[in-house]
Amino acid sequence: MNSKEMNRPLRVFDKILDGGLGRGNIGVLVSRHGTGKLAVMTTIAIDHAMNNVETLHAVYGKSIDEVRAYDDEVLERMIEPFDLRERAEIMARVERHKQIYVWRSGEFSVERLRTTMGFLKEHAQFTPGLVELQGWPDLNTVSVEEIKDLKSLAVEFDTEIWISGHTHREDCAENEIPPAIESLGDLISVVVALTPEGERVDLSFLKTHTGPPPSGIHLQFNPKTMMIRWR
Amino acid sequence: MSTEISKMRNIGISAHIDSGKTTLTERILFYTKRIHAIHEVRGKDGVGATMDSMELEKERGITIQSAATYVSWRDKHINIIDTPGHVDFTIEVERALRVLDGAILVLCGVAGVQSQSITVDRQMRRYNVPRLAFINKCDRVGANPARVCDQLREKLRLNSVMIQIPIGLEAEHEGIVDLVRMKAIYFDGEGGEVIREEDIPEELMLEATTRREVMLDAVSEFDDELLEAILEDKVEEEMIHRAIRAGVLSLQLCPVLCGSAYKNKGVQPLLDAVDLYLPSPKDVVNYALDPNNPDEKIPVTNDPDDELLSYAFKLEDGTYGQLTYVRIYQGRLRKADTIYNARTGRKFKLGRIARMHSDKMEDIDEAGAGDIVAIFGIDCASGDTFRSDKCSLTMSSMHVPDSVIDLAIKPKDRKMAGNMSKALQRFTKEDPTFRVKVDPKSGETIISGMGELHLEVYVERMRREYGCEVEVGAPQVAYRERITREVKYDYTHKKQTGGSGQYGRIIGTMSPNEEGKWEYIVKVTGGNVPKEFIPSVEKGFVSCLDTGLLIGAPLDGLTVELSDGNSHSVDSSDNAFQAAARGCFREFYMKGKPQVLEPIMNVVVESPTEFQGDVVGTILQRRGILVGTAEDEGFVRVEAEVPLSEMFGYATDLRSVTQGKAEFSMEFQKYAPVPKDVEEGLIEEYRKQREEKKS
Repeated sequence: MNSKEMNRPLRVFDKILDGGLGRGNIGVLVSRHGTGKLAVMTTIAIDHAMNNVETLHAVYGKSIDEVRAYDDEVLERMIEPFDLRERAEIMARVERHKQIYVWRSGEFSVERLRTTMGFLKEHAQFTPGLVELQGWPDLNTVSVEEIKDLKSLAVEFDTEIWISGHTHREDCAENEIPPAIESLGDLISVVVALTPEGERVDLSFLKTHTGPPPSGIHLQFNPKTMMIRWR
Repeated sequence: MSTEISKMRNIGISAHIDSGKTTLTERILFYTKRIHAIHEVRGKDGVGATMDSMELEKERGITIQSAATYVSWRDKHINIIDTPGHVDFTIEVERALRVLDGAILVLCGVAGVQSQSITVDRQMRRYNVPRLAFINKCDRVGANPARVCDQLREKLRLNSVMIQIPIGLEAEHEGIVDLVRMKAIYFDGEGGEVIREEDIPEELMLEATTRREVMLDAVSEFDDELLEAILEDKVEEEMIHRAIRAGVLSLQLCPVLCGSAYKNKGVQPLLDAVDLYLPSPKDVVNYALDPNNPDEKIPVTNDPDDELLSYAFKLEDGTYGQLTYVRIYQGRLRKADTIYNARTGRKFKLGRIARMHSDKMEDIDEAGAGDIVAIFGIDCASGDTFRSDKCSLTMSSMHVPDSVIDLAIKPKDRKMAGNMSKALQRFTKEDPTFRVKVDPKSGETIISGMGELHLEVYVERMRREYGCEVEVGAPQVAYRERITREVKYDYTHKKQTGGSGQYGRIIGTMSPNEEGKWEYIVKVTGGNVPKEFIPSVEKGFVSCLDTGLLIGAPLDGLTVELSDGNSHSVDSSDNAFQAAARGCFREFYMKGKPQVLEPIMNVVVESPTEFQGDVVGTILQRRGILVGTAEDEGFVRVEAEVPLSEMFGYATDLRSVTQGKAEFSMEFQKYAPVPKDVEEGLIEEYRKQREEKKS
């Protein structure tokens, strides 16, 4: 079993999105508070790292230790079914293809992320194909200009960027794109909503590259195993 | 007479190297009248700081061994262990933390929370040690205690709260403001021994009031009466002390004090804080183990009238012969009493008991529960438990990290071989992370430890203390090997060479042990392998663990399950089943697809942001993998995983690319597979060695 095979529903996830979010694009995971956006985002990022895509977990306002502990836990759960040698190989591959970057003080800005990406490219020979952005933005207060700038950064560095946003019960129905994201128009290419369903979380595609979300394919995320699977 | 337990404090002083903890300890000794003059760490007066009693420590200006001392302050009896700051000596820090009830975390007012402070804090968490923070060097250019207090919160996730603020900083540092009593405190006299209390200077009043509010807000969480008193504006000093103490004891609060030990400011209030806020032995629950039921932790009683239970946490070979530092958990140690070593079962008559004051001592007749004393002439190893004959408990063993580096040594002069062996014997007893073995292939003596400096210091001590100069080889990392998949085995050992033969058949599985441990699972039913030979099989396998078949390295864990087998009524014996296990290992080990592992270090580099590129460069050149980077106010913290084999000489390289402004710490992280090309090289080297040996 190779890592492409290990989480086949994630491959379906990619298929729905015509090969994934794609470089130069921004994807958003939306849900109510505490539903598992970070876990899904981290699973997607680690899955990319397993497949030799350099990924950056960029975090505002946490410590490396906290981020690392969380990411390690997700990884450990993802590779649980493998034998020791495969686990060691996957872990080594993920370590080589994933970095954490934390800003502990000052305000986050797209410019800071741009400087960091430039630094990593020049000094660490690290050019992320995926950026998992945690702690920014707040979709209710972020300006269109900032998201425009983030989009241009995605294009400039040829990377896909995943962000997340909270929704509130009064915002919209569960299968509708929240107004705050709707107002960003084409700057956001993909929107995936997370809805708790018992002990699992349903993933629904509110927006894909090709317009209306596909029907008949239902994915679920299990926060205990960190696995995405068919419902 | 032993001291009343509630009046005892057993504290450690832990910090990053060069934060000034030895200077601080020296001042504590001076103010508590244990010494009558102050000596500096790198003693220009030729004396050196009192706590740095080893010649080598005085020369290098670092504390290598944690010398113990005791002082009296107010009505309290305080045992202090001064602990080393370099990461290579963390076993010393860990040994101290194991027996201490509280600690002072010393931080540099300029450099703040540095990499080593993080390591030390992690160790303190492991042992649940309540702590106070002392922000030292407030007289230095760039000192900023408020920033350091914030760092404690952000980097160490401590609920830090300033209970003092400095009066002036850098050259203008004059004293401190006590936010509990709202008084300014100045330190007069030649050595700061005369304390003068004044009203808070007007220009500091606003800051003091604001900080006090923050403090009250934080500490009121630990005392309802204080919370009510704040609302009614009837706060009393005593209530604040009580709340801070409750917060500290519950490990949920870290009061922050400040000053400058070198300029004799802030030390006496720190001693008051130790008295007021750190726990006495009876405020802390320590656990012992019952060897008959090792999973159950039994709280020690702290009762001096109970059966004796004590723990040897440090050995020293000094002017007075072997000194053993002991923490008494219950009962008493009395001169001429007979005590038992739980590990060896041997009994001893106690000759002398002493309180140590660095390398001077004071004889006493007895010491009671909670106390730390030194005893003489007892043959034991670090970590042993001493108890009375009626006590069956032992103190839990310490966490001892694996050694990660090997160094081949041989005496320059053959006549010195005896001294070298004496020294090695001594060091292995003193320090569980220092190990010695003879390489069966080369016949060389190999010493193993936690890092380059760790071993360098022992080589130096051999020369100074035992007059034995040694030649050292290049440091070698300690490789390991492990199988990666389960193998089923069915092996018969059969030998018929006249006379009684040998027969033993074993069936089961060999599999990797992910925790890196040896595990033996017996599932034999129906007596196919007779009961008396089941330990023989284990013995046979255990004898193979030191030398794997891939490159001859020790195994990083193995699980063997014995599920079936066969025996012969005449030819089966202990030897036959041991031989069966060894033969089985030889035949089936390679089928488990073994791989070579190397020690990977977690390296943390802290540097001004301007050198970030250079720092990253030094990591990448060393096969390092960047794990994370954190930016914080002009500083950057880079965390990486780097193979130990690439870390030799790193300190020099880092210094040169950062103009000495960056620093790093490293800690063993894990064993990980070596790259394929390195593995092939090691396998080839081992193959050649074996062929040479055969020919």
